[in-house]
Amino acid sequence: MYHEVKLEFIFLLPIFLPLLTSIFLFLNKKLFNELVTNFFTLNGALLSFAIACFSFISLALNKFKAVNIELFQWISNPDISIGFTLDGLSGIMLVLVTGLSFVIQLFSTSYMEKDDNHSNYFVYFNFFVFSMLLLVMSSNFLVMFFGWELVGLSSYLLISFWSKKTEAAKAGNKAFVINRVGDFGFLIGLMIILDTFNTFDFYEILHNSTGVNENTVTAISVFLLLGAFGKSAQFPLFSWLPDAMEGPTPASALIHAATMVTAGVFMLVRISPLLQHSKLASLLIIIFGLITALLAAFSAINQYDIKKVLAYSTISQLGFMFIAIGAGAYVAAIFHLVTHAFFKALLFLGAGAVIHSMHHEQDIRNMGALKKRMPVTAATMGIGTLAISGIPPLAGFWSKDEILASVFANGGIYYIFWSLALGAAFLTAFYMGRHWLLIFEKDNGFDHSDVIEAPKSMTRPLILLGIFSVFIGFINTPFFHGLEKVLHVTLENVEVTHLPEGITLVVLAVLSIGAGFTGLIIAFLLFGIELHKKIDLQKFKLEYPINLIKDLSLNVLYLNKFGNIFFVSGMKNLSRKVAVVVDGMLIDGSVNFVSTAFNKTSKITSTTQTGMVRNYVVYFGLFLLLLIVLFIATPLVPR
Amino acid sequence: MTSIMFSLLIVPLVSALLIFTIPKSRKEIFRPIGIAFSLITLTQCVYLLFGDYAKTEFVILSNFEWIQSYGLSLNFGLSGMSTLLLLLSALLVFVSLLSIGKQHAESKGFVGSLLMLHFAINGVFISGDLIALFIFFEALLIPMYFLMGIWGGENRRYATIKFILYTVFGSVFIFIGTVYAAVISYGINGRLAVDFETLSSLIFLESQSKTLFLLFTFGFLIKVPIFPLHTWLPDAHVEAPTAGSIMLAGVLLKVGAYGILRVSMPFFTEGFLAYKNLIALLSVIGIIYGAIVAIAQIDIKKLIAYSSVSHMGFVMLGISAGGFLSIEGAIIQMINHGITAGALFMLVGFIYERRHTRNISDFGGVKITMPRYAAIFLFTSFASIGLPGLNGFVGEFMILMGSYNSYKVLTSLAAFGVVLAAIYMLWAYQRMFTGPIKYVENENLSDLNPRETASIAPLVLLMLFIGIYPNYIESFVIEEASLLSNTIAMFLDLK
Repeated sequence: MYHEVKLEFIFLLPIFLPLLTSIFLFLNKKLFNELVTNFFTLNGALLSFAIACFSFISLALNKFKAVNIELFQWISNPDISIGFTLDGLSGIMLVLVTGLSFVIQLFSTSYMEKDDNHSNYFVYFNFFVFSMLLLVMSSNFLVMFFGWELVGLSSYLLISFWSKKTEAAKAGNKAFVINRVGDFGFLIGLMIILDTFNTFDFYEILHNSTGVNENTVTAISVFLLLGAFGKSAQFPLFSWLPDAMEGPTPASALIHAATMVTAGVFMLVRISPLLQHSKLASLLIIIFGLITALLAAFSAINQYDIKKVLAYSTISQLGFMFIAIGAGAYVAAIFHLVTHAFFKALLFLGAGAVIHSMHHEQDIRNMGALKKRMPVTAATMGIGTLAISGIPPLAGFWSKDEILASVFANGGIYYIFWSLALGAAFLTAFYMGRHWLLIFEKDNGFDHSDVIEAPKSMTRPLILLGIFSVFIGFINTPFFHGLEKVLHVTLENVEVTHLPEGITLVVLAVLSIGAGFTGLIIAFLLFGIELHKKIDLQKFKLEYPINLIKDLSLNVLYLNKFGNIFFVSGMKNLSRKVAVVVDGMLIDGSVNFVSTAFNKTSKITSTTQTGMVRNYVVYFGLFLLLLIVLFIATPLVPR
Repeated sequence: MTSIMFSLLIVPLVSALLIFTIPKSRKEIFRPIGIAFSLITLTQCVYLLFGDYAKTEFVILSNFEWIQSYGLSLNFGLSGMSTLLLLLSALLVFVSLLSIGKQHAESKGFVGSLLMLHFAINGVFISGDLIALFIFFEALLIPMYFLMGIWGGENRRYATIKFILYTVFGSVFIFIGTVYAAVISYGINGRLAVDFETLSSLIFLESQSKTLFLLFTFGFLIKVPIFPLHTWLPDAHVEAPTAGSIMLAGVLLKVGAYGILRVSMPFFTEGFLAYKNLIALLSVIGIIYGAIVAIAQIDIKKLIAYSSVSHMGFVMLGISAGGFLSIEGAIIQMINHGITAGALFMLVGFIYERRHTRNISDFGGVKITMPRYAAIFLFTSFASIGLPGLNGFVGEFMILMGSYNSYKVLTSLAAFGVVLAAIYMLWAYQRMFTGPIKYVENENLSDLNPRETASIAPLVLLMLFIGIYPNYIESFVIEEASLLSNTIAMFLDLK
């Protein structure tokens, strides 16, 4: 008993430490120089990570039995409180977020060196960590919504961090507004939840979900799903994420790759006891996940901004997580979330190191052959590339293979889904191979002799993440179901899709490895040894289709342009028209019409008031005449 | 408690009269005197928070015989909602006095009018019968007329007359309603009593209830303002001086919603039930429509004015849904909108004093020269957008959650207001504050001075406090909200 009470308070510390750091740095902005700021923020993050690990171990010793704490009542009727929970799911996220936060802050101290707003960066960064922890540690939908919106805020602040650049400010806006479209769905979901269950508490809702009718569950799931689409940049709400790359690269690594964008996945796993009752919602999730995975992977194959490739890659990988959820493989989704967090953070920080060394050059066409100049970065990013391509035994293989196998295990139409997902996996390997080769291998003839390896404070986090990207996959393999055990209590009422047994599993694994290798090999043939230049392509008349593919990929099937015209300009036009025509002319016009009408009628009537006796005599005479007529006419009216 | 209640009337009145008697040459002491007196009122309001009537339904504490033979009297009392609104007004008067520029602060007419306005506002919120309510409701217009008509912008004549005519037009209906209610009351009790206690004991016929509801509510809805009766508001806001805008958005708009909650809803409940769907529909149109029109505005003050139409739409939606949570949310949203809109108008006033323009396109990159101002503006914008953790979220969230039960589709549509709010506020912020500095005039703007910071600070702190711990503010309105929702539920059962 004593042990439990202690743990309740202990796991609050890593949540609120970043908030305190953030406030502390904000208040002492003018007082602290960079060194002092770095000292506080790094130690705060490290302490937070250490306590998170301790909490997780205590939880593990306690067999992952959920621990809850309520801080205070937010409103009284319906009784909604600010409450937190530590269970397997939130425990993993707690360790992941605080751990990555520390590593990335370490990188940031060097990346953000000598920036004018150095301390502001860490204020926002810590505030983000706090918001994210609020989201994942929440024990009810209200606190989750708090975190959900506050990560949106910190994301906004960090994307538009260099807001002197108009693009950065615009990108921040776009991210917030598109996320809000998702939140609109989230809010409606919350309305239905409160209307159905009269509480927001996860435990009560998720344990009483059996009796609820399926339509209600579907409605709740679909509206919450819209929220997840926004936050996790799924089709059709994905276009903010590539733009979000305007922010500082380490922030992109943490927020727009490793943690915040996975919030949608996390939320769907959190509500999986409810979600599993809705076939329709699950089907929608897997379909949209597939569209996103394929579309984003396709878009990534011809991007030239070093960060945009990674951004589309993130969208695509998030699509994989959604596919997993749609297939009922909730553990696989979280597994991929974890492995992806490591190798994508690695890739982003690697990109950051390259950008740093290249003096803020982001176009990969101007890079090339950086392997010799930046060996550590090249090696670690190579690991990241292999990991995301699903090459065993690196992390990405285990999680991606588990997703693919789970989709396959559902049978029926899911065989088609499986093959499409396999295609996305192939594309992933291809564009990631291209990415690495264009940066580090292919010689473009540029003189990069002034490029030097990034400082140690940058390469050390890379090496650390590289090691994790190799080994983190072993937490959940077909031979050791570590993650499954961790999530066991959280998902106790949930039917998780089981992997196929025996030879099927092996065949599936071989196929998924094959997809990865094929992708990498084709990338190597095209961008490593440039095979296409050695063969006469004219013969095959391939120029047109290839250019078409390149064009469509670069412009994301022209979806962004369509969105800009249809939603942005459309909205502006609509509002302008409503303001001028409806508000100005119609409504205000009629108000003014009434007032001028009064004015005119009173002017007309006032002309009769001449002040001359003879006029009044005439009026009097006319009136008398009228009375006489009425008097005579009255008896004639038939009764 | 009664003496404090009356001093809420006496202190602003006396201070206004005092300022009018001071010679014009002593112009530097107008503001200190005004601030001192408004601080007294503010302290009294804070004291009311801990008093016996801070968490109750409306209780009449005192009455004066007016025309004895007819049983007419003036009644005054307090309730939880009244206490909160009194506190809000006192706070806004105090910070407005602190925030206004020299030009206004050194004019005794301006400071005096503001205090007279405070007197009338306090009168509205402590009125315990229809006659007192009507008198103070009308009395509001006089100081507002001077504030706008004398110290307003270029087009002030048009805007002032529009504002006055519109409101008076609504008041006519309220007046007829008052007379009608008095006549009915006479028929039953033999007295022309229209105090709230008598009214709540009267049982109106359905037709009477409907007529009375329409008469009163129409007058109040103009004040809210509800779509499509809102076009006086943008004009009034644009032309009013900063302090006038703060009071207008912060308190005067609340008077309309207050009237509906205090009079239309509890006394003419059958009428309410008959017309609530219409009001809900208009509210939701207002939420979306106000936000869409706000997007297109080029004048930042007009943008905030239209955002008020949108935010007040939420209040009316919560009221018309008639559930406990939604009414609670509506009352809280009234307070929160008062704080946020007041703060936004104050902020616009600060930059207007520096640049003498309110066109969004005349700015750009202001964050570079005025970082503190930009930060506070962004903070307030997020409060207005309804970011969780800040006050704007609390009311809207409660209204949405509470109204869903009654109006599923309408409430879902209303939730889209949160998307539009983000669009117009953040787009305006982006154009005004981010990017490079486009115009030379913006290169040497000075950041907020200590006086200005001090006047916005209380509002900022309140936004944070209410947002994080709304339980406190909620505790003042529970009684009233449950009484109202019970009344409605009772009438629904009867049907």
